[in-house]
Amino acid sequence: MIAETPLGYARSLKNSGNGFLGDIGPYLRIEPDNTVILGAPAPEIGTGMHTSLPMLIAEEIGADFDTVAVRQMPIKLKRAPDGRYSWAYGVQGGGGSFTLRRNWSPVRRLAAVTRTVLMKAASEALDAPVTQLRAENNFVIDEASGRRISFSDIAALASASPFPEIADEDDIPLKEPSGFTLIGQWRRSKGVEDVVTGRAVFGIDAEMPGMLHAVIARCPYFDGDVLSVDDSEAREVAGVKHIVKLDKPAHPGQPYLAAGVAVVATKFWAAEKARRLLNIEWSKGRGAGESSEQIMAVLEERQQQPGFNLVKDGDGAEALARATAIHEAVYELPILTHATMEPMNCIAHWKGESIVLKAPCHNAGSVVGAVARVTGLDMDAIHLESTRTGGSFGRRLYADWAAEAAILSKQLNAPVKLVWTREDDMASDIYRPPSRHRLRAGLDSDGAISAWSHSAAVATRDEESVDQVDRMQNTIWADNFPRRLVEHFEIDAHHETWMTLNGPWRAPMPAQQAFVVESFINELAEKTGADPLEFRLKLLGEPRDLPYEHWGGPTYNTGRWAGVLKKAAAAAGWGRKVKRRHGRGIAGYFTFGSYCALVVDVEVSKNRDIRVTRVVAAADAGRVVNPNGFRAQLEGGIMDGLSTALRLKIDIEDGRAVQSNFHNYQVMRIADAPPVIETHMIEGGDNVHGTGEIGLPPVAPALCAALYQATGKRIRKLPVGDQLKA
Amino acid sequence: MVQFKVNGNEMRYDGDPDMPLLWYLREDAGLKGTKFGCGIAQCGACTVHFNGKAVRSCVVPMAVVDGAEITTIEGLAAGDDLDPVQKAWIEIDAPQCGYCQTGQIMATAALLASNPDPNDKDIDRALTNICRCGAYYRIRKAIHRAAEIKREG
Repeated sequence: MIAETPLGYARSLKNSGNGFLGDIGPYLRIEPDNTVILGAPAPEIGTGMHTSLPMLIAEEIGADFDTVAVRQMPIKLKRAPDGRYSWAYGVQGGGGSFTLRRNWSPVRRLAAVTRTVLMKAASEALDAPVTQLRAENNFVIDEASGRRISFSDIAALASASPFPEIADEDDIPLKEPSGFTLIGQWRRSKGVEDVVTGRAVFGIDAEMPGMLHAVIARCPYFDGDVLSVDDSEAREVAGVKHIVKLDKPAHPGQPYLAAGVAVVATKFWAAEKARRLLNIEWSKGRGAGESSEQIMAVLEERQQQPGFNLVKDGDGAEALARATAIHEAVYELPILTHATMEPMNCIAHWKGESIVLKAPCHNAGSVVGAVARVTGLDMDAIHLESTRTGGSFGRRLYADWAAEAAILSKQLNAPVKLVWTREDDMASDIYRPPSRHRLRAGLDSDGAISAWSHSAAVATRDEESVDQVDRMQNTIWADNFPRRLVEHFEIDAHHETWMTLNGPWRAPMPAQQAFVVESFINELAEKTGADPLEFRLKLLGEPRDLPYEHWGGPTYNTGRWAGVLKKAAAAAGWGRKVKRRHGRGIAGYFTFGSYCALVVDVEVSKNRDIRVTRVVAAADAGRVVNPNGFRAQLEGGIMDGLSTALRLKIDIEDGRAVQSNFHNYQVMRIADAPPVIETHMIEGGDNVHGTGEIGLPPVAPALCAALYQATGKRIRKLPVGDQLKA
Repeated sequence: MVQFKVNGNEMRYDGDPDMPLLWYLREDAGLKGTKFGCGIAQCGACTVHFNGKAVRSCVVPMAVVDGAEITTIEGLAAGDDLDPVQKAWIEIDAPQCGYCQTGQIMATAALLASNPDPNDKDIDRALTNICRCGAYYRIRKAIHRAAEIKREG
């Protein structure tokens, strides 16, 4: 997972030449003004990595947090003799709510190595034993004499002598959590001053000397092609330099690139104006006739037949036959688009034997991989600078946009900045796939669940993989809740191939399964006459670890899950009566190592307009580095969950997306945002986990439970839309 | 040829009159704090002040800026002294990815200029900018805090 960390740090130090020049490998640097620079191995996409990672450094090295600046580290790869590439020092990227967890040990280890180097040099300079020294606020202090020396002075002194031998980095002790003075404290986001003054440089703001501006008219039909192009009017637009037909790539799989026509000009506007004057005839390809309505009908049909068995514990059929009562429900989830606020963009400069790229990234590795594939360059000839990133939500784990920029720059032999418009973004996304779920449960005479049968059907493109489990991975996993809590448990899966591209969308699997499973649990609670909170606590049972052989595993703990439910319920006044046309719903989920439960309050008007009045959240993500970031991510995840559940979907008609911009893909605005969001933090474990995804999954089921209480109508198909008015 | 002011500076432009003000600001004037988000006046990432009113610069053609006074995020602060809205945004730590925030700030500054003490309903009506990260809980708090800072002087 992590190549050569933490040992890689010391090797890079030793290889950095004679003596110590302030550079601690590629990651850390001490400046002459006694500030510290962290070369961040992960980008800032809005999840606070450029705040929490320097907190780890400052804590371990003994620096004042305010003096630790962050720069995005240039990509560093190494080539093995067999020609394969790996990260030179550690994974450079983010995703899966794993970025903080992945960097937790190596980044602190890096700081500990640095501290050791500084201490040794300071010991000589101050003529005092290391045991008598401590580091604080960028100084090493001799506790006996009170004399002190700054990190920068030590670095200057140390640069004259060879780098000290460190026998084994793993022997350098890390700070004990009980001694933490910074980790766990509220800290403001680094770079917020740059954001509010407009100085922050996102990818779309970056430049290269002499760059041209490009937009691409992509085929709107998934899998379609260019039949003919009339560019005579477009060529007349002042500033237009090139009009280039882009063929569908010959390679299968990633990066998926649409056929199209690129317009390259001296300015963005000239390119965009000319693009609107292109007259292109498209073919529809294999997606012709495909629609979201039709695909749901196909999925339903598939579910009439046996699928492939994802998991089978016990004997569901027999248990259902013996059940006191059986409950069944069908849930449908729509296609979603990512709609990052900053549209896709990338600058590429082809240099013959190498290429230089600047882009807002989420996963630098996918950019390098995609560009290598379309240019034929070796990966170490690809130089990528990541900027601040205006959101990802999974979209920028892909790098189709970088591949396009590289192709254009190579073909035109010039630096090219490619910008996607919002229409491009919604027409050519790598969408969350649509899915349909039929659940059946058997209840015994005590009102407990004796059997659980889940039929899951999804439609994806997945041309690279024919593995059945793989194709389901963004929709359902074998260890789906409540596996191992119900004796007879089975999941039957169905996959249908169609041409709409699909990929991960914030909390890919949990965001879908929480709606399905937690909604069904709310229905089962009602069926047995139980309170939905009590029903859940009874199902979870005694606190214990249960196997969870997926992302976020290898186990989850039923006690921590129950803990967030109880906390959210208590804080929200669960059990108190609500007014007429008001509703209160509860749900919880385990997402990528963390637990989150929500209580959502709604008010439904006589016209059946919905107002979400309050959300109370409790989450357990283990040890929290920055409570400010923890809360911000929960708040944002909750808003995203509401926005999506209430209104958002992409319809497909005749093999292309119907929605095209924010007028018909109505992301929530402040008027619909609940005025109150309460977030409660439980630190139920020692590991650190990301919180960028955990707030979202429980939103839809808790919201729909609240709407049911307010109106008596069960919502089993997202988005909620106008279903209450029907 | 159109003549106008951007952040107090005299500007002239004689290019394509159809070009939206947004792209003039970003590519001709080099003022990149104003962002492109949708191009159809939906998201508000490109909000600037046009004769003191908040407008979406992605749909304002250069043909109509003659004689106008434009303020962008770069011109909102009085020198090093940040605008109360910017101060409140920092204090509350409102941004996540940050991309929409300059637009949110410009919309808020225009709101406070006409309504120094907006209630939640006023905010719901005036602020129609999209924040995809969903930072609305803090944005609302920051708007109230900005009004307070402004009143305190």
